[in-house]
Amino acid sequence: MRLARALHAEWTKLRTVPATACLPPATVVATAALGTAVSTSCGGDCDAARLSLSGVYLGQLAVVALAVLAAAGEYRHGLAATTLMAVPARLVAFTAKALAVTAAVLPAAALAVAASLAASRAPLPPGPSLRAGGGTVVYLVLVALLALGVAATIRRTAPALSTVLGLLYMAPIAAQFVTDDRWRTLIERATPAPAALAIQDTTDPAHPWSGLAVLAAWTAAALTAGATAFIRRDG
Amino acid sequence: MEPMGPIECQGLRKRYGWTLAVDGLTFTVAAGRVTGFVGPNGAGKSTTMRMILGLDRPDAGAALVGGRRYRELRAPLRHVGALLDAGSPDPGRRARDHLLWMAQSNGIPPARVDEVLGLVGLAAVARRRFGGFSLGMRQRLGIAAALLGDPPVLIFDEPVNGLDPEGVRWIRGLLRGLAAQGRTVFVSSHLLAELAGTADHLVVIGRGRLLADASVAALTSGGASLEDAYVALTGGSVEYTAGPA
Amino acid sequence: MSLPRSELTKLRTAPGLVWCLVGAAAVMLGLPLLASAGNPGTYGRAAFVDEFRFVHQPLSGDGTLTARVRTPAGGHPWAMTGLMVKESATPGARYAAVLVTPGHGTRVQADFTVDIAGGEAASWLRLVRTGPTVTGYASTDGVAWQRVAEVPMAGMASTVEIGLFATSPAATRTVATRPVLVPTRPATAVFDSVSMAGPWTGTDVGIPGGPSTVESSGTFAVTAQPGDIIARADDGSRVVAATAGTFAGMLPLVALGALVMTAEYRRHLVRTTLAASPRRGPVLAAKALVTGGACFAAALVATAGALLLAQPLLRRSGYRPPTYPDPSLSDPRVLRVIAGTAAAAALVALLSLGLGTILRRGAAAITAVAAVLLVPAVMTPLLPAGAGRWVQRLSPVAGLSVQQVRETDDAFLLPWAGRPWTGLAVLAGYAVAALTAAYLLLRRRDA
Repeated sequence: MRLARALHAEWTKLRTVPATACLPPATVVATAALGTAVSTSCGGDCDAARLSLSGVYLGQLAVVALAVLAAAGEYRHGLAATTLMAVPARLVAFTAKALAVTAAVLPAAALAVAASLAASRAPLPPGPSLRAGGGTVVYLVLVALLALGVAATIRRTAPALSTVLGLLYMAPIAAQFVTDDRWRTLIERATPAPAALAIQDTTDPAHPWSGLAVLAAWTAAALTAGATAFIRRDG
Repeated sequence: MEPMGPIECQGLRKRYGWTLAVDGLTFTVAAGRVTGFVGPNGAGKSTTMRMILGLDRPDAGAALVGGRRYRELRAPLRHVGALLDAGSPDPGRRARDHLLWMAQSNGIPPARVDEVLGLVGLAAVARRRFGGFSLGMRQRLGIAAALLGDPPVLIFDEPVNGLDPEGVRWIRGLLRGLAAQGRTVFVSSHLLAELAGTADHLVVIGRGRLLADASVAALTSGGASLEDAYVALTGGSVEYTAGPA
Repeated sequence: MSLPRSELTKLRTAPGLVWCLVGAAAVMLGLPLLASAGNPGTYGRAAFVDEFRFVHQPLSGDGTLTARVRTPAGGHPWAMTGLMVKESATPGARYAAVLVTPGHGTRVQADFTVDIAGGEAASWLRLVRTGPTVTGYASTDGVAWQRVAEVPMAGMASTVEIGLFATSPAATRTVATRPVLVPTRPATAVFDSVSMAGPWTGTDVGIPGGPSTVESSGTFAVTAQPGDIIARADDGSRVVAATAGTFAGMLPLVALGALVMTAEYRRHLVRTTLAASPRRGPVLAAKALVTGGACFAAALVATAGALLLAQPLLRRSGYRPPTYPDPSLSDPRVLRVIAGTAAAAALVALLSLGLGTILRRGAAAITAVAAVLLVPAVMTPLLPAGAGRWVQRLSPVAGLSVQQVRETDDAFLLPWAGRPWTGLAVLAGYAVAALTAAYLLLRRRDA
């Protein structure tokens, strides 16, 4: 009951600020637009589903921004204190935040994926495309929660955003600098993204879901850290 | 309205890094009167209020409202209404929505939001976004938030900050009226002259310790002004004094 | 003059901003050292190195080999498919070859030093050994032959290996230093109508292991690991190692550029700033000067330091003269890499500053710069090569082209191969556009 009320409040918070309210639609537009544009470059010998879903690389920025603003944006100017006064049961408050962000991202991700696949300029294999699309939706939700956890730990928008972006975009690049092959493979398998997007590979994926599993582990760790910070630290 | 209850601080202690902000603070704020909370800058007033509201965790001791800790209250806004630093919550949000989510979180009907907006005189600007609010308007909105749950306990930190004289007079009337209804009203302020006209009782702290917990009448007995009494009490606890001009 | 100084004070007394600079410098210094301290390269002491797949058989005395290249190896302008005569199937052995390439037509190459161009790529190739001379021929239909070139191979042994080969230059170096922006697949060439009968031996020259030949009734599919037959071992790694941290180090600088302006908006300091100096152009210019200068200095010191400190580590890993000559700071290429990298870092921060001023919120600015900088970089491996290369050329990440050292490899890694400053100019264009838009908006708006 308390959770339901807190969730209602968190949802209102998200939808009444233009900055966060516009991000789910932005996710849809960015993902679909880029994916469609990319799919036109398919020359016939290409993984059509993967290309049309590649707009997620842009769309995930909006998702990350949403989660970071939801978690860290309150710490400016004492809005966090107001939240904690309204819902002092901190685990309830944090869970409500996570659920609200999920509720915002999930439909947007589904719509984005559907639009990307529908607008694809190249023919799509139906079965694998469904898996690729579903995996992409899961990916976006996990990324949002990862960003939420990180932002709740760091509590400031700019550093949290930079950290999450670094994790998602830079980590695979950094892995290449390790010259020892064993370590490099290890690191590549352990980074959250874009290994997780192997799910989109409809041609010959080896372990399609294992990348998402790694991302899920990262997300779980981030949420735990964020929840702990939220609960234990001073408001 | 929920049943009344006093605010009780028992042996509160809080350290921030090296600084001992609050040290063994014990006092009670009774219902039915306006209690002022005064002390020099850095005396620990904000820290104490934050501990009462469950925002900061005390290192020792307890802060209770109506016999219970804040964090254990199920719908806290119905028990305690507070105005802390108004700050500037998200500038993109409308005033009404700011109160709306608070109401939703505590199961308070949305109609109450419009009611309190009318009470504080912001009904006309309910749909305006925060970015366009003056300091006085933000202050009024904070007061509206405190009144949202019709709580028996009210805690105000510098309520007259930014208000014009008409607003100051309105606050005075509001606080006295709330106390007359039997609520517990706890007000922290720097404006002693203003408090003298509003408060019945004073809690004076300095350097995190209790200096006085007495009625205004008792402090100003013998003809001394409140200001003189205050300076006499807190003279040794002032952190920042100006140098000779 | 006081305006830049006050902006500098604001910058250096804000701990968050200083940390961004320190963090960026640490990454730009640390990652190269990490990369340089790794495993020794496979390149030994030979000044030249060959790596390719050779399908061959012994030949005593004179002989002729004719084959049709049904599918030439693709994926790189310098991918090679052809016929070769080699003293033995070992790296460093003397050779003469006639070959076709996607980007450079038909050629005859020999002995690591001879490279003769011969017109458009043909589909039929013939290699003739007569005594000390090897001649290469090409034809479009297998009937009319043009002589491409004749190479004297005096002193070559009587019994040699003759056969088919395929190779394609590598897209990664031994010292992995840059993100692989466009992928290469191993070269696969298909030959048929081979004039000599078997048995054939397949050897991976210079490469440990690797995929194999498939012979099916006269058709040979030769797949090779990335390599080259005329590669200079020195791929510039000793210089490029210093750039290992550039891309990653840019992220803190993006945050820095965004925060320099947006932090003021958040705390309403911007009113103080603009009250102190109401003319907005100079304010923005001063911020740009200070931000760009600070980032340039930090990146310059970090990159130069990385170059110097990496040398002992690289030498210990096997990168020594004469194969890998010592880089010297008086080499204009080296100077270009260091100064260009610092300039690119500063421009990225300025782009971020411009966007931060336009959007007025730090989170929005960082997201926008990330979209423009990171998304193309991460996406190009997915795109087909043609589209991918254009995306690279026109995105701000093209600024990294200034770091190129050797054209043949860098053609695939860096978008403006051969024109390093053009890439930097693209990045500069973005920064200038952002700052101009920021200036126009700043003038129009209230604080």
